[in-house]
Amino acid sequence: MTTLWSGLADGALYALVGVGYNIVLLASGVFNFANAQLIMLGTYLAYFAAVTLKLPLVPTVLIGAAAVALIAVAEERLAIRPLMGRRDSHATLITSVGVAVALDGIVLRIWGSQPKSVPAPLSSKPLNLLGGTIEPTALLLIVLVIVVGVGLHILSKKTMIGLGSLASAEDREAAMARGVNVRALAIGAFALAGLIAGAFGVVVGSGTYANPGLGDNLALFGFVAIAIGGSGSQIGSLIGGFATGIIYAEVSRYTNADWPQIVVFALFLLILLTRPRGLFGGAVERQV
Amino acid sequence: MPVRSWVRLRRPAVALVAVVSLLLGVVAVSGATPAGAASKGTYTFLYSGDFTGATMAYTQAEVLGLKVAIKQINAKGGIQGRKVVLETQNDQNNPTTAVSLLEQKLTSGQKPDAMYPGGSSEVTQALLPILTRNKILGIDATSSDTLNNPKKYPYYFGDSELSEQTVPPYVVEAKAKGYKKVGMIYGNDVSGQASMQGFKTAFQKAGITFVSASFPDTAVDVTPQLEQLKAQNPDMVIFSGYGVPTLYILKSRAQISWDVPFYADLLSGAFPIVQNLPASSLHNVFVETSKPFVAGNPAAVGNPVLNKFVADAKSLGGQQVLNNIGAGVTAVGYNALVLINYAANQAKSTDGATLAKTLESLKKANAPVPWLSYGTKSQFGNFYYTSKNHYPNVFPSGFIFQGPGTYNSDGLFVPGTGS
Repeated sequence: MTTLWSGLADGALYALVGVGYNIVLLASGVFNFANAQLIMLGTYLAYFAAVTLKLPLVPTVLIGAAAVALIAVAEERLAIRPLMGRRDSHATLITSVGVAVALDGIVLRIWGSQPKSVPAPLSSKPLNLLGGTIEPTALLLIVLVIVVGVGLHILSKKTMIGLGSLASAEDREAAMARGVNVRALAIGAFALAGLIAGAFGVVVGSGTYANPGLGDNLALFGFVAIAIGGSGSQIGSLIGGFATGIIYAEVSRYTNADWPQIVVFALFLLILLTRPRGLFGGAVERQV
Repeated sequence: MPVRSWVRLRRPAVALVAVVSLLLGVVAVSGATPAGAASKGTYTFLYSGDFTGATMAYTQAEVLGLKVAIKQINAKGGIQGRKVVLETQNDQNNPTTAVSLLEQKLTSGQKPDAMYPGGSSEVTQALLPILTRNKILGIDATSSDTLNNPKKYPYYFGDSELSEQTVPPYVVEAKAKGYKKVGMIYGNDVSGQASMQGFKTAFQKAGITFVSASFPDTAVDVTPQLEQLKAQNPDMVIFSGYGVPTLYILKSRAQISWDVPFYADLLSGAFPIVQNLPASSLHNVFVETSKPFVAGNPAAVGNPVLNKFVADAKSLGGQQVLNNIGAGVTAVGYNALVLINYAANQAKSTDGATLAKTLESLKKANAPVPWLSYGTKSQFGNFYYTSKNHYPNVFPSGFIFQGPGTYNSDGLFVPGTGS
């Protein structure tokens, strides 16, 4: 059971990255590859606020959320917006990879290569739960990621902002003609993704440490999470992320290090081949 | 058009993400120092290492050691009258990048006289064929025994212990404590595999059962791997990792409340564990340290070569490196150039092939020996290479097990102190 808890905690990280990808994807149609690096930046800001400035938990979370949201907005304005009118839809993906690399370099320059300890918001004494052990903060991470994922799913389906985002992503020009402020939605999506990434800095960093390799380690599995769950589906991101984490942990428990990635990516390929839109991706109508 | 049909428009983008994801691992930015062709008047030493990645702290230490050696050698007129010049290339600990950067340098006529071919066994392994082809002398601090192959790599020498050479003290410890089964958890890379193989062979030879579990370098948690090991009920566990994996191991150990003795190998032991974990997580945790770099140890006290080394390192702005990484890692850079200089003085030559042959038959140095690491009288080991062994000879008596600690202002290990 401890392995299952471990898989759920890792899966929560992958799901969190996938949720961030989907927020921007749903509102603007852009795949923001730098989202995992925004989460990594959130862990460093949590370290900066909690350890360097010695601030209590609430200001630490608020500073992280606000700062990463601002950086995400800056990314949208500087690296994404100028390319939005172009026919080449892949250009924004390339620039978001550039932002990811830049963020890796910035944290290395500021904080160096040694990992930094982020104080846990809850006790570090493991809980005995359902026959296994898990740290309270890891449990909190699992719960918070589920709450955020489900909340965003409801937001995208039941509110005008959510529906406007979907319309904007489907046909930017048509949405604009209908009075949807697509620029505001795009900025809002980046800000929201950054806000969530920054706010999670404490709970993520207390488990993974603030370390410069974190973004790269999470990015790929976050992508696997939405590819399995279905791009554009927040519920799919959650299920894809947790499934990836659990499978990875269980395979790690009973085999050597060669197998977990092979098994996860075999599943990834199987789903892409049999359900190219992911488990929860909608069917596509063909124009004839 | 249905609301969700936008996704169709993004499918090429999703495919591109997959490609970018796979390529990201090989994307690297060259940080090579602009270099002119090595002139006959200078002796060019090229360092290939990770200047911007996760192992950058070790690079800083090794480069500091090289700079100290260069300062001291140039103050005495250089290597056979040639002033030593340090050039660097940022391989980001990526073998592909390292090979590409070195090939660029060679094709543009900038062949170095000697080099430090990488901060990890993976990078060194990739560069050695190029060194051999171009008869470039190479010395660095890798630990994989596959690299100790003088027939295949006649111009390459190691200046720190092979993994297998650090193992005997663990076997002595296990026997002394009466342990019957030993476990090991390690990172699944060339260094980790070499370390595991060394331990496995030694323990099995000693009649002690050996079990292991490995984790990939993308892991953000190693609890499942520790659970796997715990289920096999070892009496002691050896752990090996580079940087944050070391923390994941001890953090997961605390989570599953596993209190059998945990011993760091040299790789994990060089990491500042106590700065990142509470004392409660470090109960029954030990690190293997090298006596000549332990504060207050008779092997370190009063060593004039070490004292001069530390003073010069500080004068070159290396205080922070000494505090964070310690003098032991810094010394491997220093030793590389000191050994080349010693061989050059003996051979009266700076030719790479000649120096390689000379290194295989170095004359015994008088105490205090000019290099660091194995005591002033070589009582814990030596660099007297042979045509069959291009790695140092290391004696188990040079190592000691202690609780995790920190480094003092001279870069010497102080056990059992945290910050």
